[in-house]
Amino acid sequence: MAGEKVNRISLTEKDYQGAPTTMCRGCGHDAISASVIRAFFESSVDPRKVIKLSGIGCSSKTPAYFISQSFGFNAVHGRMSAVATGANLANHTLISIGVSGDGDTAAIGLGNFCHMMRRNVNITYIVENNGVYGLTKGQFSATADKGSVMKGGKVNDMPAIDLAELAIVMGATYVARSFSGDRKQLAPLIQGALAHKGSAILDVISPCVTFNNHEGSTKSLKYVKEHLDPIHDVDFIPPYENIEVDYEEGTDQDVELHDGSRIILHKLERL
Amino acid sequence: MESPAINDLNICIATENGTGSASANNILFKAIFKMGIPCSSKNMFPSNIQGLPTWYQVRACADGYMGRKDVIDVMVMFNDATAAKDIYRVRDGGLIIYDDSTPLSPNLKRDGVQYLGVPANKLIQKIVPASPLRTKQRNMIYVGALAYLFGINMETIKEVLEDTFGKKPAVIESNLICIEAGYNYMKDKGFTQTMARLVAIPNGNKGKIITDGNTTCALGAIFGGVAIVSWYPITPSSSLAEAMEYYFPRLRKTKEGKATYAIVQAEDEISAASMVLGAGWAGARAMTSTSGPGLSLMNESIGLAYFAEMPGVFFIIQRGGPSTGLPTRTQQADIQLMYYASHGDTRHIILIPHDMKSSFDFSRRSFDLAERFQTPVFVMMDLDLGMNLWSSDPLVLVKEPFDRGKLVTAEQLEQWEKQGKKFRRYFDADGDGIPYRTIPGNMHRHAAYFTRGSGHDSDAHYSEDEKDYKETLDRLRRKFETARKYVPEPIIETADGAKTGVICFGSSYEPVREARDRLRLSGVKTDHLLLRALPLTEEVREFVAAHDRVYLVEQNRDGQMAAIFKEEWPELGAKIGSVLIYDGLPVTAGEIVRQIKAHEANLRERVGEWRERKLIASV
Repeated sequence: MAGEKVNRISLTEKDYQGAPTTMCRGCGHDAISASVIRAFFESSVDPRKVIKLSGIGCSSKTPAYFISQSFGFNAVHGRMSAVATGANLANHTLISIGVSGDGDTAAIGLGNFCHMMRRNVNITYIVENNGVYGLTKGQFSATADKGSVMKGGKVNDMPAIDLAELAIVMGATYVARSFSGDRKQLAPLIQGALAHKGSAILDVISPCVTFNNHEGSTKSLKYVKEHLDPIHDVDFIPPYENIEVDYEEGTDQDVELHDGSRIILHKLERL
Repeated sequence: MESPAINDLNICIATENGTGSASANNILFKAIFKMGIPCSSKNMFPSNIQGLPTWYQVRACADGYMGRKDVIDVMVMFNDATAAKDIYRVRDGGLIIYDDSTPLSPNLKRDGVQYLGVPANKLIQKIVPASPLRTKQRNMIYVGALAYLFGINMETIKEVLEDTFGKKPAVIESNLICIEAGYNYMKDKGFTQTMARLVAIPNGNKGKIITDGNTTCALGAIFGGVAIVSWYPITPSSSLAEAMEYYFPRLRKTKEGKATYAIVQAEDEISAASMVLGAGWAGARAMTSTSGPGLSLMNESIGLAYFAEMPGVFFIIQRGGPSTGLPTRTQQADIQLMYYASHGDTRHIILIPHDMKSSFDFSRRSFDLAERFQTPVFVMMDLDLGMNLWSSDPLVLVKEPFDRGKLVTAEQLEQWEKQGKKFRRYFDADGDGIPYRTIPGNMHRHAAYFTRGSGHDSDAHYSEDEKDYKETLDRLRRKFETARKYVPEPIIETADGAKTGVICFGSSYEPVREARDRLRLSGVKTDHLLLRALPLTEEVREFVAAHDRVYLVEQNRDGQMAAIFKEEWPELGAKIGSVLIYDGLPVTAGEIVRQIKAHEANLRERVGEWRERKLIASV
């Protein structure tokens, strides 16, 4: 479409879209997918060099809903981190993005998740954290806060696993927490994660509008919005090489900038 | 007096593990090998590091049989804890060598055997100062004693010591002194025996090597182009991965010293299998090695690899199960766990080596099959093949190019599109059940697809449609049928006019070979089929059909392989009799002969009964 914004590799944001989503209307996961699309577009990542990995659960379905030109791998429950490790070993030139949920990462796959960070596997790993097992209809997950209430009224009496804290302890080299609804913050965080070499862990609170959006839940849309306290204005500045020029007085120099634009410099002669 | 048997001797050495007996035993075995005598060794060791009983059998056999022998000629009784039983393990007329530094306790005396005492503890105290080394080198005394008694040349022993400890002259010297002490003690006492002599055969083992199956598998995999190995330590498979750690830097580095491989010790077997999947999906040849408990954990990932069609090789070195079972003993009891690995309808390709050469060869070929069929392939080993030392003809590398199967490059996709052909990941274009595959990094704009373990259609889209689902299952079965033409065919040996067939696989091969010769001498002629793979092939069906009865030898309680035969060909089921050996020890020819003869006697009895009944009926 004429006039549509293109990135450095001449793709539009639409080129990063995937299949139509099958999430519930208003699901935080869809908002995260939109941020992923934005980030990959902004960072001008070639979709053909990307691999999208996930485990099992609602969140793990989402890689089908962004960047359909990339290879995808929907692994066994909890094992995405290990599959990603193998894929990275096989071809380290691929850009890996992993999407997982709190059941996938904080419970069944906790051990593999820790060891992936220990090995500092080069991956952007997003946990779409809603504190609940959505695909099995509403059980508490290991990130549900102590005292939070299940849809039927059951109170969680177990302490939550804080995945960002765990990632720091395990030595992950890029750790962030964000909110699915805050694209202005999340998209640059994902861009930063993509630029980072090593395990980049993003713990993204992503309210489940169907099973965990009620009074008493600490991961409902309302609760999260009320307690949202952005501590930084996040932006991403790509770490480009410094452009240097050296030319004669009185001559012109054509310089191509990182975004593809060009400037022509003219050096004045000394009088 | 009978003249001594030449080069026919079965020695059992009973020691405590962690006392250095492994070195002593290896030196003994290698010395006999170096003399040119056909020989084999079996290590029966505990799942422990120090202080539990261990037995090592060395068999010299002029006829070249390599299987374990159950009749023991000589017992080296160096473990007090098992001595009371060990004295009865030796045959009547056999020999017991014991440490007589202290007098033999009366309960360790039995009739019908010869006792020879060597004061190993006393001798070693004179030679080696008190140290942990003393315990270790005590075992060298019996090496010397046996060398004298049976005629192992001290020069040969020196050569073996040099081979073993090449760079450490002090170690060679100190061991040699201990061996000489045992040798000279026997000589000075004038001890002799008349049962057997070991006589060197010039060039007898020329060109042969000594190795173990875990090493040959590791080498086969490296020459098969494996790039990614992920594993978790478990007996008896650890030494396979460790052999790769040893050989990889030697064989698979670029001239610039860059590794062209990666080997990862995973956090568990689930992760190990998952890494294999990730690597195989991303285009690398990948493998893991494990044993029963690890295979149990890997089942879910294997199902994913089967259903989403990813290559990967799984080396399974079987041990005694279920549960922890006997980690250091041998079994073939994970056949069905491999064949049907995962929930849902699955069947897998299994390659079954039976010796060192085939384990090297099948290991290499397994990667071709995994890529051709885009599926997990098993290499079924067991502890006996994997960890025991076997003498073997040299390994031969078949220099065929790798078969990467239906792997499509970006250039090929470009060609296809010009011809109006579309890439459809799970579409059976050729009718053989095998679809075409692209790998990540393929830069063609239509190369990418979504891999998932959930229902999918021919274009790799998510689907819960009943037609798509059934089509996928049927195509996977079709693919498995195609595999029958690709797996190693059985090896058949026939005897003129035999009506009885014997089928075996894996480490049972050597003892079965010996058992068939013994059966022939007692008037039972048998044909033989060496099974080398699953799925079963037409040759196997024909073999069973062509015989009145077939004995299927396997190392498990429930006849797991026989069940696969019967499922495949129910009409032939009645012909199959099972010879089942599952005590965890390497199979012996004696036990096979005993069971086959019992079956045959049973049959005769039943035929007799049937005739009698018929007679009564006719009256």
